[in-house]
Amino acid sequence: MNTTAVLMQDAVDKALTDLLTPKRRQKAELGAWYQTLWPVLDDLGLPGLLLAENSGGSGVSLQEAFGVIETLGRFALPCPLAETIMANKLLADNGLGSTAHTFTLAPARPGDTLRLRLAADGAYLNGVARAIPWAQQVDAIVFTALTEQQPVIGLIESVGSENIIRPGKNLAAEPHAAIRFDDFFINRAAIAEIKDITLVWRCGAMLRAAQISGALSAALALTVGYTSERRQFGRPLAKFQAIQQQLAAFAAEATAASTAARRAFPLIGSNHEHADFAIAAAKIYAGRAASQGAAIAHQAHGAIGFTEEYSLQRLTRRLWAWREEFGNESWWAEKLGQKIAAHGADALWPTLCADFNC
Amino acid sequence: MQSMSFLANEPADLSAYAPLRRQIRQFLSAELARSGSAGWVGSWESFDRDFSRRLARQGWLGMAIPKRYGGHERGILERYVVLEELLAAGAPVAAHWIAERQTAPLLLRYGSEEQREFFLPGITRGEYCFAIGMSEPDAGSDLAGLRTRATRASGGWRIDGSKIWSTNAHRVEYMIVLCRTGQETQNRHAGLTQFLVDLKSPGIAINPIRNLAGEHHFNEVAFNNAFVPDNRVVGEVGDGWQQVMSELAFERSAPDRFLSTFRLLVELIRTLGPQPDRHAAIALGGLSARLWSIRLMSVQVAALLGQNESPNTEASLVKELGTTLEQEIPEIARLLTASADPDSALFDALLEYDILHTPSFSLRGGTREIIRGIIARGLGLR
Repeated sequence: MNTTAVLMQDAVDKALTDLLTPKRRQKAELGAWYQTLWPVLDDLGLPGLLLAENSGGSGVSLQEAFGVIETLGRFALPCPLAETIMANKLLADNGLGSTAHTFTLAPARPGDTLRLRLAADGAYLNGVARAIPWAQQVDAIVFTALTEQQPVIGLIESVGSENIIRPGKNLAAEPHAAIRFDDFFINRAAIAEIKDITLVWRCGAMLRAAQISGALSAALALTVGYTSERRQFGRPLAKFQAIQQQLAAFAAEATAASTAARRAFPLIGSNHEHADFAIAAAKIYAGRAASQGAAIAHQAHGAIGFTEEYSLQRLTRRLWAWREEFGNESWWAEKLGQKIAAHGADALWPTLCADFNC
Repeated sequence: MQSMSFLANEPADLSAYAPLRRQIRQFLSAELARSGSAGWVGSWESFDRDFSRRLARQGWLGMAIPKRYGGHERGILERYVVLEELLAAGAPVAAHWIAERQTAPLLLRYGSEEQREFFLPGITRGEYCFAIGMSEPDAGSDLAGLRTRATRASGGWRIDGSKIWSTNAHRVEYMIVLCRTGQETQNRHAGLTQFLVDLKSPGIAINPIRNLAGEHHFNEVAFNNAFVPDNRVVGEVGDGWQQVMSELAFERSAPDRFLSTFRLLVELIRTLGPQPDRHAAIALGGLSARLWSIRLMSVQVAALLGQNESPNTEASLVKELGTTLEQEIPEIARLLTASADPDSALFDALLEYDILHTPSFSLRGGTREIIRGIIARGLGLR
């Protein structure tokens, strides 16, 4: 890892350790995350992490930023910082400006398509996007939509309560809601043409892969710590082979997920012909490892890990929530499998060995 | 966590070796055509000295061996590219595999100058082949319990005891035999020494053990007062355990630990055709995602080895994931083609071979349970 990335990660690590006291975490999780957490995150320059320095950002590359997003996952940060970091980058990359502070991304569920009708005076948005993380609590939404011509990326800064339907919570009790638009007016200045409708979807998927990687690492560390302390039958749980074998399996899956996510994360903007393979592989592995890791962590912890008070649940509930967002393993595997079959048996090996030069 | 250290490394860049890959692929196509079969079955367990020699003539054996010992002194990553191309193709590499991958690094690290000069050129030419003499009837996973003894004799040592599961001992020139040379003390790892044994020596009896597929790979090798000269001790007397540990790190990190059933996956894709049903597509995508990720880890381990690190935990992580994947591929292949008529002799042959051999993937080179124990140690649990 280069020095910038290491220093940044250490700074974020320290800041979050100080920031997330039990009291603040509780307040944040009850909905007051903006007041309780955001000023410190802002001071660290995190929302603009991926913006160029001359735009007031930290000038960090995607590769360098991976470790920071992973850290947000490791701390189970209860606010839409990852989404905001990515939204700011997407807006800057596509020449769109915003004064909003907090953002989310849409769509987040497979098959949800927003459509934009271009008109003389602006554009009109139609469609439903389900289970958008934090939708009812953020200032703005960055979305992609189909038009009659090129797909677009766009910004909505004035989501009204009439657009928020089915407000609810994900498995980690984080807010999400479906957003619905019936000829919702959007200024031309708030949209930009893009090549690929899946842009935001891919970005969201890689955020989740990075966050899952961090949460897995924290869950593993928590479990190693717990089993090293907790004694039964005259010795720490960690001395039993049954426990050691399970934790080893956990570590292996978590390492693979992390390796894949780290490699794929910088490819979200890539035109490389095999970038999609990498992104799919990373999201698939993240889901697989999330499922297996959460199960082993809970099993090794026994009943205490199943309580609300003990900290494991804030990690595992996010693992369960995040693996579903922006396409679960099954969705991405189907797409990947179809592509592999279409390219033919003899193309698999060269694709697996593809170099990305980034 | 120390065991995760290789995550943070810059991904190793193999793009410079694209021309080398093309060359190897061309060579392998020609070799396959020459063999007259649709595909190699038996993967890297197939023993073919002539193939090994032809590979050597291309300069693709002994790549990590210094030039002064007859090697080609190319980098570890370049060598890794050659290895993975061979394994992905299922090429018959068994004859030179142990010599090139385990014995050569052992001699480079611990061997005497004379041993290096004697063996390494022959290994590079694909002419000196080796077997491993570690496991015994009473010492498998618990290798430190071994009882084969080497006693000092005039000018050398005499070996008594027996080794088991010695793959290809019946058709190679040499075996590296791990013997007890010291007294049995509290420290079971002390007093062990490795010897380079010429299998033509008197006092050595090699008996075949057929595996459940009816193949003769394994052997029991009985040593009865077999003489080994002093200059065939590897490194220092009593250093055997440390040598073995470092050999195993090398052995466990190679791409054969996840590519053993890759050919079957390729033929499965061919069999399913360009528009598989949803169920099959999901299975293919899942397997490919895991392959991609595990291969990435494997490349990173190779890079660490190239930096003279000892990535035992990392190598074990790869083996744990890789062998599980290898075993799942035949299972998925058989379930997905249950109601199809593959009409492919190659697919059928690969499926049969792989199903019969699946138990061995999580046994050889360290059982799954031992490998997980090594990972657990890396996590600080042991």
